[in-house]
Amino acid sequence: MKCKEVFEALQGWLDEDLAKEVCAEVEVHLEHCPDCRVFVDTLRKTVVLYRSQEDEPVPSDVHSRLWHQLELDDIVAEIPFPTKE
Amino acid sequence: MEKIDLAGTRIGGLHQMDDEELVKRARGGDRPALGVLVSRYERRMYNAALKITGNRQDAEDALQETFLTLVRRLGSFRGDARFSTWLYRVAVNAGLQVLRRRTELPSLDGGERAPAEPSHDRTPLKSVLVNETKELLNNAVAELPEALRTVFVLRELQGLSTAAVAEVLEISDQAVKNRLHRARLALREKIAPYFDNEERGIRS
Repeated sequence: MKCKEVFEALQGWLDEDLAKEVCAEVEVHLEHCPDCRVFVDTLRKTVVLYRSQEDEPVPSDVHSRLWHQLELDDIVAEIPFPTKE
Repeated sequence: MEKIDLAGTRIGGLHQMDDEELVKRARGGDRPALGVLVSRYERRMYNAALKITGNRQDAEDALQETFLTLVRRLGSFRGDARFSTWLYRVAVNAGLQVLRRRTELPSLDGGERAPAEPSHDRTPLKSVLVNETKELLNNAVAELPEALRTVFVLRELQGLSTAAVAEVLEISDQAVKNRLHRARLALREKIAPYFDNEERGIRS
């Protein structure tokens, strides 16, 4: 397997969507190619990093203005806020 | 979901209903049903808008536009698509529209916009690093081309399936996969130097 092929296989690899044989070939290539290893490592770290970010709550002033715009001010008090997933 | 006793309130039984049922009721003028629908999606739509527009003011504009559109079009929502898919499409379009309006109209305040993240002035020390990482990510996402950014936000940050993203954006599953891959590569490019510095312990 060449570097370019590893590059193309990465898409499936990250989504655990890669055939076992291809996966094994990628692993073999990575063992022998420091450049690809660094590349794959930083790509994986990037994915892990942004997947670790949580959604933020809607700021309470933004929330209030939205419900006011929707003319739901009288209902807003009956609905728990902040809403938790 | 927080445990709050809602029995006896107007929204008591509504929380158990699915989206389509709430839409049906809201269409008939049931405002508490509309309220439950809004509360169910408000946070998701806000975060999607925040990542698509890259700043808080635009995110709020897009959020309001999204739900005002929902109210306006309640009558025409026929349930051909899942409600969440439909609403995400409205939110993506609202976010992109807000961005376009901003680039077309020079703003009166000289174009200064609030940064995507609050300043660290009142931030406890321990969360400074968390904010730093967040800001790095947010900036990197904001710099992605529109076509990659929308896919990335829906698929990776909002956690929609490939098929759902394809439906929201009206593109093929394969296009979703390709754009997602390109988005990840672009983000890696921007974020990789941060890992280098972190490992060497010389983060500035």
